[in-house]
Amino acid sequence: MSSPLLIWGQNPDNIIAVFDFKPVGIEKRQAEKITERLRIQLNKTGAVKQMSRKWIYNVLHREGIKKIKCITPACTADLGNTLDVDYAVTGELIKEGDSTFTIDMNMVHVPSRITKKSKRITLEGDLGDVVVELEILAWNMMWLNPPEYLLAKKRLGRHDPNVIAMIKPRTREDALKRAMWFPGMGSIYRGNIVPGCAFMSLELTFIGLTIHNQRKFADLKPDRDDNFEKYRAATVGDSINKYVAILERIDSDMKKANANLRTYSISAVGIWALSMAHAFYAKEKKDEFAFFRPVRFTFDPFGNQVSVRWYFL
Amino acid sequence: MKNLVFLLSLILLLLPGCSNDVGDLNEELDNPLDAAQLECGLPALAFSPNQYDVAVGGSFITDIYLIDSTESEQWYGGVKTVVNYNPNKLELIQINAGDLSDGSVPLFFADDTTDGRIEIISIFVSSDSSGINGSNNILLAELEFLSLTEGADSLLFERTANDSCMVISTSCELVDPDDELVPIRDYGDGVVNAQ
Repeated sequence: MSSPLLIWGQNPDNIIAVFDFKPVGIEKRQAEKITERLRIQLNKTGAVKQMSRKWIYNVLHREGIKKIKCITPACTADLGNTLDVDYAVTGELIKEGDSTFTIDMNMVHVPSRITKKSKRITLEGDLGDVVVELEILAWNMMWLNPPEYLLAKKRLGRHDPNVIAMIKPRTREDALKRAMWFPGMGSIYRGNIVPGCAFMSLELTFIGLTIHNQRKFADLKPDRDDNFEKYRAATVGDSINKYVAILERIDSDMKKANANLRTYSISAVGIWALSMAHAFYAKEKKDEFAFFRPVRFTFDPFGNQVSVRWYFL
Repeated sequence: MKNLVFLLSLILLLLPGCSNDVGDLNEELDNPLDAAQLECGLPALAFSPNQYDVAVGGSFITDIYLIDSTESEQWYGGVKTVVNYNPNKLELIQINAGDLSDGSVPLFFADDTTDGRIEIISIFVSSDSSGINGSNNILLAELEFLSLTEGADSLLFERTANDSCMVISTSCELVDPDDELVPIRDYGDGVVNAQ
């Protein structure tokens, strides 16, 4: 995680302080809660260390700052300097109309007093949509792509069943149930795409080989019965010997097909069992995927771009 | 816990895997004319087929064969075959000559004057005094019976044996073109099930 972040000028050891966004037209308590959601997402990025809200306001009170009135970059840098952090974030949540909100946010690099990120977003919706925007913004502030479920939340709406399914915790029990239906599904459900796909392909291979050998066996059966009839009807020694030789060859082929059938079917069951065990015991990989479908079309609302993404890697 | 028990049961159930029942070929090879199936050696006399399932009042045809190895260089000149059966259960309808009496002057005799006993004599007679080679099974006679009552009966080659391969005495005879006796090593009797 750290190397790409360093390239972009971020360091996981940097400390960031997020001040409560200034409420305009909304309640202070609501603004605090929304800001807290931003902090939670920032923690999830793992790109910076964060100074807790309680600690921020304890220090500010100790320094005699009772209320933060400004959100300008200079003022933000001063506040950050007081807290001795690397980055400071201030912002405003403005209710423009009944369902129009504006988010105004500045992230300042405290030692250099340079604004590293400044965003002003106007959106239609409710406070829930503001939260979604801020959550996405948290990742963008760190020059990271937001997780798929956040983008889906914005694209499809918070109440879309797909989004709800994504947010729902992916439990071991649910993974086990899926793995019982078909190997690999449980692992994919828990975010382990590569093992999941491996289980699926192995299972399909073994099932295919099992079916192939069963067919081979079934194809030989009428041939065997036919030659048995001929053998029983034969009266001449040479003919009897000829049919015995044919029957021995068919019998050998059938036994071979049967042995393969057993081996491959046991392997298929083994893979099934392994897949269930993996689904249940393997650690969940969060945010590596969003849907069951590993390949899908996505829309980046910031770049206004449609793209195809896959999650095998 | 319930899931786990179900899971383990399922795995245990499926673990033996799929397989088909493949019978033992040697046990299924049951042609009475198959020399490899005879335990006591060759040449042999046998009924073919050797098992009949008939309805009471129904008739069936059985053949008597002389069996020898496909690699045999033995020549045969004649055969005397005596067959015993239960006259209360079976009735002989007719006897037809087989391939051994197909020589230039065919000689084939069948005596069924004694109830439950048929004596068949088949001789190969040709101008060059040769015989018939036994490398392929030789059809000696064709018998047609009528089933009289329900139950099982046997068609037996007349002989006294203390075990299946040790024959003490027999009325059946096999001779080469020079009228020299050729020992008969095995006998394949027939079984009739009338229902």
